[in-house]
Amino acid sequence: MEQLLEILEDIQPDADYETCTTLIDDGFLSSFELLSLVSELEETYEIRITPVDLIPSNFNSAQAIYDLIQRLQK
Amino acid sequence: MRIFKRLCPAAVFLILFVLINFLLNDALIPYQYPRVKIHTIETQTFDDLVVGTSHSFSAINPEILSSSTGRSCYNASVGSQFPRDTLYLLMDACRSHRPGRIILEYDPAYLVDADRAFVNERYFVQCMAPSFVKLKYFTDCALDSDFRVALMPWIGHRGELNGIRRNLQIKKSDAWKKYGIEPFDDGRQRMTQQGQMRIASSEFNPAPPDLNQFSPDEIQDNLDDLNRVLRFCNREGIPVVIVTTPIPAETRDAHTDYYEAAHKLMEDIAASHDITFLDYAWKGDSRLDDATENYSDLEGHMHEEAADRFSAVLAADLNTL
Amino acid sequence: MLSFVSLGFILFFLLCFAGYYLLPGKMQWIWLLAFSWLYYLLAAGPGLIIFLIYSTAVTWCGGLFAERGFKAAVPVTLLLDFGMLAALKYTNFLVLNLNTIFGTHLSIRTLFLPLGISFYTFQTAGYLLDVTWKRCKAERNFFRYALFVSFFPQIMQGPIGRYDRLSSSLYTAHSFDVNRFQRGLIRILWGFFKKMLIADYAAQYVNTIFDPASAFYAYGIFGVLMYSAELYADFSGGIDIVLGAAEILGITLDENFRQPFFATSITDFWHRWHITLGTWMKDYLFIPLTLSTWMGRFGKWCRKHLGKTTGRAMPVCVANIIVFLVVGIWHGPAWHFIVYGLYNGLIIAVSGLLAKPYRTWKKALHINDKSNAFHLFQIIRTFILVNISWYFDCSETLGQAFRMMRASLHAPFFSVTFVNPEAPGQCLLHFATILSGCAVVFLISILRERNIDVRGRILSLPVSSRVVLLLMFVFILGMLGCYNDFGGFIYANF
Repeated sequence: MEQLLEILEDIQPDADYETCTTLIDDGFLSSFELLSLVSELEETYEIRITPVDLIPSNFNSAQAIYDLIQRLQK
Repeated sequence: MRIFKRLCPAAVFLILFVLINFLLNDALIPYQYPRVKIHTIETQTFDDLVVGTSHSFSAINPEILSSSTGRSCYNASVGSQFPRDTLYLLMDACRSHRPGRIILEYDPAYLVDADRAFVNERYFVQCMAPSFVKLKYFTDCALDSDFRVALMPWIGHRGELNGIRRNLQIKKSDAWKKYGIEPFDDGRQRMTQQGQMRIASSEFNPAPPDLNQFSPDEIQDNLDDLNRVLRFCNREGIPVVIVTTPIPAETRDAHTDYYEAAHKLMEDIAASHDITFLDYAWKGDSRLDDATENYSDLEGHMHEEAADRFSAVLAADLNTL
Repeated sequence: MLSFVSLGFILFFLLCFAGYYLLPGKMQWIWLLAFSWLYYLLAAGPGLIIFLIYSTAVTWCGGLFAERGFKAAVPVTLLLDFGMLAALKYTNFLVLNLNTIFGTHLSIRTLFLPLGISFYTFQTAGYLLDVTWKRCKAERNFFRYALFVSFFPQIMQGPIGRYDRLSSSLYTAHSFDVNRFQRGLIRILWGFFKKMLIADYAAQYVNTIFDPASAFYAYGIFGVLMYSAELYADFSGGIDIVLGAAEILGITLDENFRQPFFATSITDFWHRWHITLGTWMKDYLFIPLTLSTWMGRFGKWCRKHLGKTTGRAMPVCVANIIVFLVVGIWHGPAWHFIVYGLYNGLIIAVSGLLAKPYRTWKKALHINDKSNAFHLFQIIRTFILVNISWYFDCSETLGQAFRMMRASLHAPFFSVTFVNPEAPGQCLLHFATILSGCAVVFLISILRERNIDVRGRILSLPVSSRVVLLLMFVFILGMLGCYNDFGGFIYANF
């Protein structure tokens, strides 16, 4: 989780990842930033994210992203 | 009661819309030639009816034609009369006052110029007495056109605010009620009772004619309409003679290819309908003087004296048919 | 034929509306389908409807096969669907370029473009991919699907619809609702306002300045500003008519514009301008492209050779440029459109790559990027960038675009009467109408940006005021609105 938060802060430092649950819905992460994030996550966690996974509910909060990573690592 | 309450504002809107529209039409739309001409062809029968554009409007004197041919004649030509307008004017005339023969003036610029001015057609429609022809004409023109022009015909004259007083005066006058021609006399040109526009010989506009590239491929609509006119006359058993009125020699010399192509096109159309085509523009006519002094402009609108001489020549040619 | 401003369309729509609410709910969608196909027959001609039916049939079958798991269904269907669009829209362009590059003498043929083909091809392709990615179920009923494809308000210029969203209102029973009717009507009138008082007048300036043989090509800056007004008023006005008409029938279509000139960046602009094209590109091209295997390999290579920050952004940048290349091509078969697309793509790509450095520079210069002043700076900067892009969109060739840009640097002062020197009074009146219209649009845009329900406010006025307002509005359209006998919309030719 720490590593994930570091990545998020590096890509977009303006959002509050501790509390925000509308990262996509409220546009805190743009498409560009989201896909840069996906690219970084695939590299860091050795997972494969497909278009089917790319739905708001998987990326609206740091916790949701973490849960997705865990699911894909299995 | 609920439905009535719901419909009431809509009804009020429609009534007010029609009323304001009516007032604006009255104030802004001037007294124009088609009103007189359409009334005339709806109420009187003629042996010869001239239809076409502003060229024949000035060039053909029905009195001279009449006295030579012995046939009653009326000039129903007017500027901005495209083939589609001619069709509906003839259909309107044939409702109860079928003409004996049609003299159809062909101005190539009207076939080439695809941009029909719907505002003018709208006026033709407005002037017709209520009938199935009027409805068909409206449908044919209005469906493709801007809804504002169809429902608010005054917008064609919305800039002519200083004409309002004169418009309202004329519409209260006797001339309006009796379809009089007096309001058209402005000292430089006047319309006769037989429908000709007589232009004083002092009038001249030196601007060169605005002739588009002659390309019949692009004006299929106008060609189709012309063929509709000829087929209609054929079905009604009304003989047709197609005429192109004379033009100044300098215009012909400057646009030889244009008039050559125009002649060829009409020659083919006339042949396909087995109709006589008298072209006084293409190669001129030795009986006529085609000097520029005979015209009020380089397009070919004739002065009254030249028009009388041309009408005599035309009558002689009609007598030989 | 049947242009939105024609009497014919109004009568057509009234007939559709009357029958729609007189019929029982279950029959309403069938009535709409009949009217949609009738609209296409009348507007495009009987010969061209076969292309619409072709795309409908091909993608309907493709959807059914894709749902059953046939792997070949998607590539084959997309090839058939886009192939038709490519063949009709881009063959001549391809031939001309082959002739130029290879010296061949292939002939070009006059090809017709079926009405709305650029829109319905994308819409049907989107449906196919949604079914493949299980975002929606395939529609088993061919005629229900056909309505989704051909729904007449949107066939000509979009918005590009999504099946899952549209199907929730397209097939359900609707009963007449006065409030919804009034809201739809206001929206339609607003569309007419923009089209008739701004777009058509501005078009006269744009056409005069951007004509390839124009003597006024140095007036480029004025020209692109007029084009901003014309394109926005024409396209969004047309969309307002579409959405208003659909709303009257109880059908919700996606928004296509959201005050685009308040955008703070080119990225933001494309979230506010032609929104449904942007979201289509994002969901069906941009994201799949970025997440593809070979893009992943490219990303790995970039991270190795260009560092972590640039490395993770590069695949997104490249995908973005490709997407905007497609956007450019979508606009038309010409190099200047392609450059138009690339211009937008490159700006977004570069700003994405420089996101981190920008943050550092702003900190170093003590720029508060949350301040109103900075916000205004961003809006003006974006407006300028967008207007530069219009040189490429509006010119007929790349050469013309560059020539005009160079000449713009030495533009003389001029009067707006240049467009018709024989009627200066009229020119001034028309120009004043454009400016007044833009002022009204600007005010309404500010209200909309603050999510104020303008239509709701209008409807809360007393009935008598509303009748008077409506009368005034209609007569203003007549008194001041531009009119000609063509009434075409720009995006109706796509």
